[in-house]
Amino acid sequence: MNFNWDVFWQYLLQPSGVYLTGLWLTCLISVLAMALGCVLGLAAALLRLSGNPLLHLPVRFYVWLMRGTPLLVQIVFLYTALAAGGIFRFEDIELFGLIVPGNIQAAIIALGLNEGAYMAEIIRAGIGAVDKGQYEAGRSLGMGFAKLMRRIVLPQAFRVIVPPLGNEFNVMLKNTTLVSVIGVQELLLSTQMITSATFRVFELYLVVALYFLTLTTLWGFFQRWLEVRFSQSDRPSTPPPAASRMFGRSALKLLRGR
Amino acid sequence: MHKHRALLVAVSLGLCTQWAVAAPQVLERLRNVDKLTYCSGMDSPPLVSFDESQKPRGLTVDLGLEIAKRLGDKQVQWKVIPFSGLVPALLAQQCDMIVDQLFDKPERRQVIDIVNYMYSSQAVVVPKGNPKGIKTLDDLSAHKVAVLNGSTIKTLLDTQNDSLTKAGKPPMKLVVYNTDTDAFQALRISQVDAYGTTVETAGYYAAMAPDLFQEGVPAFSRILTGLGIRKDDPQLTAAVQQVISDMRTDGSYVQLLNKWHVSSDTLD
Amino acid sequence: MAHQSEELIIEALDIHKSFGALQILKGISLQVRRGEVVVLIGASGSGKTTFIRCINLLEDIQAGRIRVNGRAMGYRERSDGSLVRDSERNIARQRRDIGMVFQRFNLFPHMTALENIIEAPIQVLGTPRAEALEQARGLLARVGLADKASHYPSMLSGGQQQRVAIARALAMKPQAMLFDEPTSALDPETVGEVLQVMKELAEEGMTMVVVTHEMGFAREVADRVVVLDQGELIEQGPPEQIFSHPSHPRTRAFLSRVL
Repeated sequence: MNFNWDVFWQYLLQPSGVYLTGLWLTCLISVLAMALGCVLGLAAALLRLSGNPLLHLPVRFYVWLMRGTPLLVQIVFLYTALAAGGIFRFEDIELFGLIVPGNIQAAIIALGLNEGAYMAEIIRAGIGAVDKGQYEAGRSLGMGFAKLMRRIVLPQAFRVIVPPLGNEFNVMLKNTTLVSVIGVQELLLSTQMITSATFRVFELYLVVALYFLTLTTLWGFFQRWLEVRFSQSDRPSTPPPAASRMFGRSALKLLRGR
Repeated sequence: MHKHRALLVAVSLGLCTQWAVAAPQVLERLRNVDKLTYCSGMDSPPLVSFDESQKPRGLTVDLGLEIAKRLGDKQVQWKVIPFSGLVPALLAQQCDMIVDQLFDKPERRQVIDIVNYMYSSQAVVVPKGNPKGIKTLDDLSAHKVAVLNGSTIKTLLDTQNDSLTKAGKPPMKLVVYNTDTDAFQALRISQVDAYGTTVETAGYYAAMAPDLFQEGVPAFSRILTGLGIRKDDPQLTAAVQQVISDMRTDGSYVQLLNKWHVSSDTLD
Repeated sequence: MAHQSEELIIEALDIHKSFGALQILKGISLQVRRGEVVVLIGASGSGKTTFIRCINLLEDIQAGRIRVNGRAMGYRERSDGSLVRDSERNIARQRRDIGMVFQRFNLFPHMTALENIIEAPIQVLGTPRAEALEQARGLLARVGLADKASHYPSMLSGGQQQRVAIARALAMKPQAMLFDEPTSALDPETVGEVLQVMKELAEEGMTMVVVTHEMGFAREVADRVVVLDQGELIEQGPPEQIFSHPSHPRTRAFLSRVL
């Protein structure tokens, strides 16, 4: 087997500036796109609840479109195709003293738009899981729709939403590799640039795989904590010992869900 | 009588030359194979690219096909791989030869053998009218330049960035793409200010749309260009080298370069 | 029970309600005075739960009038006589005057007992938190659950949850309380503690409309018993009259089944 351990350890443990920038971009784009997706998803889910077709038909169109086309196509379409067709071009903009390149804007928006469609369905399911009696109790106490959703329904929906939301972020972390095609130097393109100079494809792709594995695993721990925290009111008065939470049923759920 | 003998000698010599040229065919390496696999990015017109019907065309394509013919009428199978993956693919024995615009550089020679077939140079393409006034590499400071991943021009522009930074000028922003077509596209739709590529490709695009593009920075960094072959395949290297020498002798080499309008790139 | 006045708190006039083609309420009229305890009884499908839910507009009506505390509740009349539902904002405001206790409690599971009670006063009435907390503790004590303030509903028994639900409704200081089969989902052991709270509430003079199968409660606490059958009000009167000398044959039939 042709494997150079020196190269492997060097790139794994002493990442270059370019590589660390790529890692930072991967995380930043994931977080921002996920936030955008959650906002869009919540808006879409709430609009979907409306009986008014003017409100819920556009949402259904958006969800159908985003879920019916490949994400890679959406990314290239938003950045390259729209510019080529003279419809819209992403220009670099200045934000808080930093220049945000057009392709990074497009990356975040494309990923966020796509995520919004999936979050809309997840949030809709979460809201649907809340017992109708909760609406009646809130209403009979004189609460309006906004208060009812914000204080009573959404907090309960959130408990149902957290596990699939966690899974979606896991997927988002990995989907950021797709924006390499529009020239964003996230982890994958950074790796490709290094392999083109060193030709050590095996070692470097192993390194990038391990980086992603680390990111997704760290996120998995945080997701576990979120799920436990949000089911607080369901817990019996003494929580189960931490060890069984980490490596017992929770670990099995972790393995199953991925 | 002398004339007849002279003629006989000339004919015999001619036959011998033919036989000498045919020698590579007898090599072990090629005796039992009926096809050669070529890797290419198909991304660098006029040397290697696809025509409208998705067939390979270009100077290096013609060269590759001629080599296969002269090595015993071997079939050619093309594998299209993004440029930066060509050397790894060759090393992984996914092909016999890299048939592309591969520059002869020491770091590449460390891992593969290269049989040169022409010279190339670099150039920087800009929109018609050169709106940002880019005439030298220094003028690229603070601008966005599209380049192909793994290309020599990218390395050269990285070096240029180092000297710009040392001189206290803002560096250029290199936007890296995995295909040269995507890099050119970025210039086409004004997502970048300039596009760094080979002078041959630059000339090709400028000729294709003269009212849209022009040369910004003229040809620089003249460099040998070759075909890539694995180091553990010396027989193939020798055979290909021989074919190219023969083509230079019998005039077909010059004809090929003229056909594709790159005669200035002839090997010395 | 105690000190009734002539003041009408709830006035329902000729209420008609259908679910699609199925008519549930066929013209029910009811008046409830301040301090009165009215108990609705009847077979399932008689419309008693639907009727009580129309009072605070959890259900739409197709015809009729509802007035609460002297004000028309929830509907405006169009020129052709049909009803158009008032804005949700107005309806929400009107609902503050009526508290409701549900068969399945409907406590907010992500809040403690105390938080359940202070939620509406703070969010809807704008009561300052300290005041709301003090009031809530008082209400919890009143329903006998002062020590359960920081417990989540999942940690409470059914009877305890229902008592918290009553306290939660009382926190809004309503003019009247509606009870939709408040003990039907409880274990028999806990039914008594809830009925006791309701009895004390009645003795303090709260105006109450109660849908229930607990005939003992009706006999003891009600000022008036109203009998519904197949969407119609067939008989009403003091409990002694209804239970001992019912006049309507269907009342007699129903009572003979349940008593």
